Amino acid sequence: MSAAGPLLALSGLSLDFVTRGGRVRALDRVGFEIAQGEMLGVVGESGSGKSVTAYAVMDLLEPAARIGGGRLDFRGLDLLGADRARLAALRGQAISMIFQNPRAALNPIRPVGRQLVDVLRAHRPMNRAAAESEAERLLAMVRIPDPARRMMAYPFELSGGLCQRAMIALALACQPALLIADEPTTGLDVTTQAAIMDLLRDLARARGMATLFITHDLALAGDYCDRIAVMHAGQVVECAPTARLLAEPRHPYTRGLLAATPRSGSRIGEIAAVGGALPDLTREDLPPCRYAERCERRRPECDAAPPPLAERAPGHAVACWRAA
Amino acid sequence: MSALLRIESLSKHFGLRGGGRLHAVDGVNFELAHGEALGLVGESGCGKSTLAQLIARLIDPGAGRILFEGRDLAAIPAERFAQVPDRARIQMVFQDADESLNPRHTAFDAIADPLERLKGLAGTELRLRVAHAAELVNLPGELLGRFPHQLSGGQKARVGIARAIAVEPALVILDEPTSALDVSIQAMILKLLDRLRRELGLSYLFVSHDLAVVRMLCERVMVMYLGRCMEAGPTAAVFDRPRHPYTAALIDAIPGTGRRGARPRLEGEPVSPVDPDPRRCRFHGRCPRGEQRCREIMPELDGGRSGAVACHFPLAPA
Repeated sequence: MSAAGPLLALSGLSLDFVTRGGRVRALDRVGFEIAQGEMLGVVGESGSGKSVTAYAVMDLLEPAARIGGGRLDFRGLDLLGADRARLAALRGQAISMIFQNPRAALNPIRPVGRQLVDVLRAHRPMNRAAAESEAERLLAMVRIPDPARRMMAYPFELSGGLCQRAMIALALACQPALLIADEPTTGLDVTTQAAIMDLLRDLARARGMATLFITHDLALAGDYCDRIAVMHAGQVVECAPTARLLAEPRHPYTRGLLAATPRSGSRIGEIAAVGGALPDLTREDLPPCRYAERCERRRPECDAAPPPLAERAPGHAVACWRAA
Repeated sequence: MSALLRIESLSKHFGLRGGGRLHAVDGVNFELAHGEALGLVGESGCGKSTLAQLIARLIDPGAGRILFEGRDLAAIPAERFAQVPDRARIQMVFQDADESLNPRHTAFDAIADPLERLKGLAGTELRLRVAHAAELVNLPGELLGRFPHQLSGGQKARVGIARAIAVEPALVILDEPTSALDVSIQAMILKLLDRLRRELGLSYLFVSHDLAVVRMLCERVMVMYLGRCMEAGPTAAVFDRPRHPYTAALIDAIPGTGRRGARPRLEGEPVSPVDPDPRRCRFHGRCPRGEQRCREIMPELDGGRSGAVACHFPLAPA
């Protein structure tokens, strides 16, 4: 298969949640692309819309969600327009997802080996014996020690790190072209986090699999991702190759986030909080740039029209009227 | 220099229903000086939160001494500790302000509660002290009438801190005080904690899994693994030249160090904290070194305030 064009492309994706408290404008013109084999980090704080974006790709949105516009293309196929049967076949096979709390995502009353066999036999023509040996191979692939014995283990018998490995084995069972990893290491210890991230990176490289890595941790994304998209209040504010984004952030929010993130060896005087707070996304008078009210560089033009995510340097896009 | 807090051979084992004893804290020793901030780091199950609860006297130790300004608090049962004057001198700030604040109490009530119970204050004096505590943490007075659900995460964290410092403690135990906060708010709370310690001359016992945060806030650090202290010393020395292989692995795993290559990771799973072999080093099995001696003789913490390590084969000081 040729790799012409991006594997996944989002453009102008807008999405609201209709709630009793009003319309929550969760996503506003979200756009980014992922190439085959690439790891893209989508970084944002709570309320940034990063998980909602992933759920939109996976068609896991709750009924209150209303897509207001935009496109979601996977290998050129319009995911928002395609018929549901085709989508169901795609999701779970070509695109799969792992979650923050793997113990909650796994079936608690079925051994992990059985769950793998179920997935394999649902998607591939395999007899039980072949599926079992493939399941054991997958557990070994995610570096679970003693996989033959772990086949019979229930999720509660496994540590958080081992549960996440089992989840990754499930997600990769059908050899997806794209893995969406939604905060896969949040809640795990740092040494376990490092081991899981190493595993994800190594597996993705070996298989040419693309990864959409969703995280609140800019430093962690910086260690592993090829490119990073920063989200704030439902808008992508900046997207650039990792080294460039960290060294030359152009959007004031990216700069603020970097300044607020403690790094090993940074002093207390060197970090600074990001001023202000997320705007209430149910407001009727949301400013076109949702960072404007927190921004020190706000000018009248910031309130006139929404800043487009425009390329300011090769591969470096910024959604700010004031960015050089 | 006299220590504010001196911990001697402190242990806490929990009896399990199915038999066996979980060694949460096992023979821990350390000192905390007046005005000093000590970081307590380690991964889940290492006993750092149990140790914090022992010192806050929320639970009773199995053995050992907790010397606070020279007085041994370990012998006072936890249920009686609320009546002891030292209760006000040792205060705790909890991880999740959502869970530690009563949803039916206003911010004012939350801050006033320990002043009423521990200091017997009421009326005008109580209101003044609450207002003063709120001012110290930069909590605007008009927010004092609000309930927790009407406050932001950062504001709730401020209420939790104001509540702890209102009774003028000497020691504040902070159990993961910012781990539920977004990074943009975390920075503000960390700066606040640092300023309060200097202004009020507080000592901090700062429990955290976030090593970058500990490094910023604490002069000294103690690394725990499965109930044992593995390494302790001045923060900069421990971070820049870790002597224990576990400390080295922890530091190596901190995100944002620019590491993108494949460094060796810790292999295997931690040994069970239930009835662990008393002779074997707790880190044996995950340790990249792990020799026969580590299986046969538990290494004791060796060294002084300038740096101590519990390992038969410490890494060479760089």
